[in-house]
Amino acid sequence: MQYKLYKSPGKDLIQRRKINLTLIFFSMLFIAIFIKLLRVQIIDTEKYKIAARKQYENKITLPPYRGLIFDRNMNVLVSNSYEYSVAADPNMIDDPDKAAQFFSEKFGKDKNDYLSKLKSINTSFIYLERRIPESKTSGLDTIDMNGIIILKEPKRVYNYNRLASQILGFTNIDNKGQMGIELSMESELAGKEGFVIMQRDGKGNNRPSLEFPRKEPENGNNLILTLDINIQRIAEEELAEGVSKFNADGGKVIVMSVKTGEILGMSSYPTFDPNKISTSDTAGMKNAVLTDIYEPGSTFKIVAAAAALEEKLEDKNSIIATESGSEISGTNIKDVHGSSRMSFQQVIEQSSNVGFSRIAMKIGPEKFYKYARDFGFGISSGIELPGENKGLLKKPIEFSGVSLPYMAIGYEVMVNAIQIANAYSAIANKGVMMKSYIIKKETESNGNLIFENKPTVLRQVISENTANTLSLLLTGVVERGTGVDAKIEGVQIAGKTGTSQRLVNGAYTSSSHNSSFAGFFPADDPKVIIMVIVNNPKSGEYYGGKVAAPIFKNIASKILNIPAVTDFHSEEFLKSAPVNVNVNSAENEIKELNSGRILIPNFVNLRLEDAKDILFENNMRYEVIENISEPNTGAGSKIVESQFPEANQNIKPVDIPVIKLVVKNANVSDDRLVTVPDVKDLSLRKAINKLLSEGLDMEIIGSGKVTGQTPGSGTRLLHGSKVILYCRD
Amino acid sequence: MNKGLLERVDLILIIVTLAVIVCGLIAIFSATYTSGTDYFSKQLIFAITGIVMMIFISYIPPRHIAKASYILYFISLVLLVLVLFFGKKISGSKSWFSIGSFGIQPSEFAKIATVLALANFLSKSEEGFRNINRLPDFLKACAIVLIPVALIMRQPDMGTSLVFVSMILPVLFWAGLSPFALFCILSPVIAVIGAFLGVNYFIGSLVIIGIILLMFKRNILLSAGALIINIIIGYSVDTLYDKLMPYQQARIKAVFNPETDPLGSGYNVIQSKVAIGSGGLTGKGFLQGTQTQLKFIPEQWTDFIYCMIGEEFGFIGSVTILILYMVIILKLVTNANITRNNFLSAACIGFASIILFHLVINVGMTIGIMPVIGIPLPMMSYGISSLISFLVMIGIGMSAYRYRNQY
Repeated sequence: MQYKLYKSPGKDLIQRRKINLTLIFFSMLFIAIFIKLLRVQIIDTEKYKIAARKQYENKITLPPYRGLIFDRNMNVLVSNSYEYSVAADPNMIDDPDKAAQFFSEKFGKDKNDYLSKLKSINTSFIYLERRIPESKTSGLDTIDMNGIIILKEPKRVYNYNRLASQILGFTNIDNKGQMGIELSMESELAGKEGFVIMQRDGKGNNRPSLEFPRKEPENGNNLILTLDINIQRIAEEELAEGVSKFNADGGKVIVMSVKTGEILGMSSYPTFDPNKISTSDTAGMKNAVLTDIYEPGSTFKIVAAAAALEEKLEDKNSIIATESGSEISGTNIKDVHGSSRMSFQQVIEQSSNVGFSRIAMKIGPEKFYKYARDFGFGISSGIELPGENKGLLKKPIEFSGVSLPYMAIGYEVMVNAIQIANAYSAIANKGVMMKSYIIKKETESNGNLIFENKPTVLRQVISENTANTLSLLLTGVVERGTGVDAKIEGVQIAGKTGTSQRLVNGAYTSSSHNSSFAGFFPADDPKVIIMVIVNNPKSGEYYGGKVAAPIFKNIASKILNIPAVTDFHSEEFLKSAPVNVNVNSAENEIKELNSGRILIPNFVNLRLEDAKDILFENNMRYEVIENISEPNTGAGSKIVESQFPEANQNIKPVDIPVIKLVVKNANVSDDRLVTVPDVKDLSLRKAINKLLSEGLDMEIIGSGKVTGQTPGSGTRLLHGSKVILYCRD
Repeated sequence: MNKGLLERVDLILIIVTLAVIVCGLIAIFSATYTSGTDYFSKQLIFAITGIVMMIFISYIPPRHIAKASYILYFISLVLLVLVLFFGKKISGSKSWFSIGSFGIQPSEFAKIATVLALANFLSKSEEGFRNINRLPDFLKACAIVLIPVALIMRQPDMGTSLVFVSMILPVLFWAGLSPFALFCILSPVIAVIGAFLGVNYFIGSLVIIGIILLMFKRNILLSAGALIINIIIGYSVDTLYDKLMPYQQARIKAVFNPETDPLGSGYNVIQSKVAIGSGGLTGKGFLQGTQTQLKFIPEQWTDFIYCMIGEEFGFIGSVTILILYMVIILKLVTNANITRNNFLSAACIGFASIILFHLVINVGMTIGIMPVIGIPLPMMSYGISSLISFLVMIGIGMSAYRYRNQY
């Protein structure tokens, strides 16, 4: 080059200093920019890449149809309709004031509510109104405002309103099952959301992305239940009438097919209307048939009776001393209508407490426990409905001196209604216990069969012979004994009454009772078992024979001619429906019961009150932790979000820790929650894509392939929450 | 022959300038790719025009330029007054004359004229620069710059006004302003920033200013006076800030933390950082930049053109651009140093300062270290007036090289 930096070596020092200062000043500015560029483009580039992706990739979900639910005769119990919701992307709103004014006029709410939502930052999606009543939807289709999103959201329709409501359950505002079959069969019913990834430009216009293919939604599967809606209606109507007639607190009813274990009808009173959740009394929402346990009283006497017959300790003509004697020390067991000597048959027909106590002492704790256990007490029935409380059956080692006589007459033992129904069903079914079930079939949305439940034999509880004898004896109860009010002309009915004092504030009281009746018919070839419980009748009558037996009779006489009762149980059908023998599951449960260990129940998604009930009944201590990230909008509507320890852990009773329940508000909408996908074993890039498409943020530890993630897949997190990815090359 | 050409033509400056223009055209092409506008072809036509002008100007002997400088300065002042009356108002500022489909911004040409007039004023003596440390001459020099600034502030165009102000100190320093005077002028800036950050920072900045003033070992009264002025200015900052409208306060806050106002004044900064940051080391590729192509940054082809480079060509691309500008500025400083013509020497420093100020503010703004002040990236941002005026500046810089041995 022809020039030099300095004009000449002789150029004075001032000029030299001047140019040096100028160059130093200029280069400092360049270095500052260079350092900042290094930071933005190299060090923090991942952060900005994620931010960019968030902005330009907009996932639009394509909602699936939730599966329909039918009864056994293909009556549609639950179907779908649509409701409109209005949401907004605050970034895209041109004139929040105008929009707020518009919606304020349209829905009659305070303009500032909308305004604060429309001006919220850091979100590109916020609901303004959800599930707008149909009367106010007019004109929504034609709204033309940037950033306003009109959503068509599916809504469940319960076609029979209150009928079978506790079995069916209901869904929340996001159409996720919250109770009943809607909850327990959530994954089958829900289907899978599809989505299109749209690229969104700075003006909020969407265009389909070429990188991501469209994923079509998969509709949920349909369920066909074993219920017969006519039987269900009759059972509910008669129960409701009985409850009101006897001025009771509530009641429960089960109608079940003896030979298959299918539930034909099941309800507890009060009920609720799943179409009107917000105004329904929450008391009616739980399926008390499964969640409530009680001391069964006399209906439990079949355990001692069956054991005595099977072990040949007695036959139906054995004479038993029934005077109140000193043999049963420490108890105050007595009979209402005392008589000093009775035959075995009379003891059953008259439901003699003294007689059964004597019989039980003869059987002994070990044998008695074995039969009680084999009849299914203290074991979950395995029905496909959520929230079953399996009750409490003491093991012989836990018996006190008076446990055995008391247990024989149905105290010191906690059962749920379906366990009683199953035990009577086993007697009716020649000693064979069937697994009760309510899901008959699952089909794809197009009707293709996915699976069909077949009747499942659990075990032979007693011999056919003993079962026949016992059935005969139970016929006598209805013919001559405590259950005469269940008698129907022309049909032979076998059954047993039960009247148990209720524990009120820790003491038995003679003013509060559970009155029950369990019976099956026709006695010579039983097809249906009906179990009725009335809680705390206050009209004066409280004997099971006076309160529950007439309800049984009303139901039985009305369903006698319904095809589900008459035709369905034909030999032909039973032949065509092969019976699965599934002994193992029962064995495992029994093993677990004997091991002295208990399983931590699952509380997640239960209402806090119900969870507390279960905890109380299981003598578990607990601690409730409010999820403070959600605003507290009122008591009485909390749902357990998570628990510690987690469910199904096998723990020794002495080791039971304080159960911690994290609760959230049930009426806080789930719209901001997303499900964490499984990204394990994916490449980091794919994992990031997957999480981003769900709207989740992430923190990456290491590089390469994802070897672990916290929280795990399936967890529900707030939109934009962080998932930690552990990676290794 | 070759040697002769190199003697006469500043090849490095011309090549690097052409490279910057080509990069600018590529960037505008990409930024307007999906918008259906004709900014690219317009810029292309005026780039060619501008290059021709640049080469033509490099042949004009310095004495002619010097002679014309006051006339040009006067014409541009007249234009600046006229634009206040007949200008077209675009986004709140009357800075444009509308001629057909083009807009002409007199303030862009006033930059050149003002630098030339200032340089002419400073280089009046044959042997060296005017003694700028004399107060009357110092004030005259300042007035040459501040008259157009006052007119431009009336438009109002804050960014361009600042460009004029930024050029004063380097040029006066080059012309021999004493470091003490320089520091007296600069120190209020330190005091203001200190006052804005809080009481402790303000006291700290005053202490530092005091120590430095003492190190100059000048008249103690003069030093104390300078310090007192600093204290007064610092105190009035708080009062002035309180008197600002809330939205104006928000804009100042957004400079320090754009996240406080992501949809308002901070929006462009966040978007441009996202675009540049997501480019990473190598960028997303030409026309592949999601933020650029999906137009997250409004009118990116003007002031935010650097985002396109950062996003589509990554760190490598953005540093390359930075280096190209560095070469241009260094070449202008070198030409200022080697020319014997004081007029062109001061002019080159003025042009280098203007280009540097544009670059630092524009790039700094896109990466979030400078406030959002709407000034273009030299020769890259779309804008006919600014493109032509920068090419004229380079042309004069080349002339300084060609006629470096003429007084």
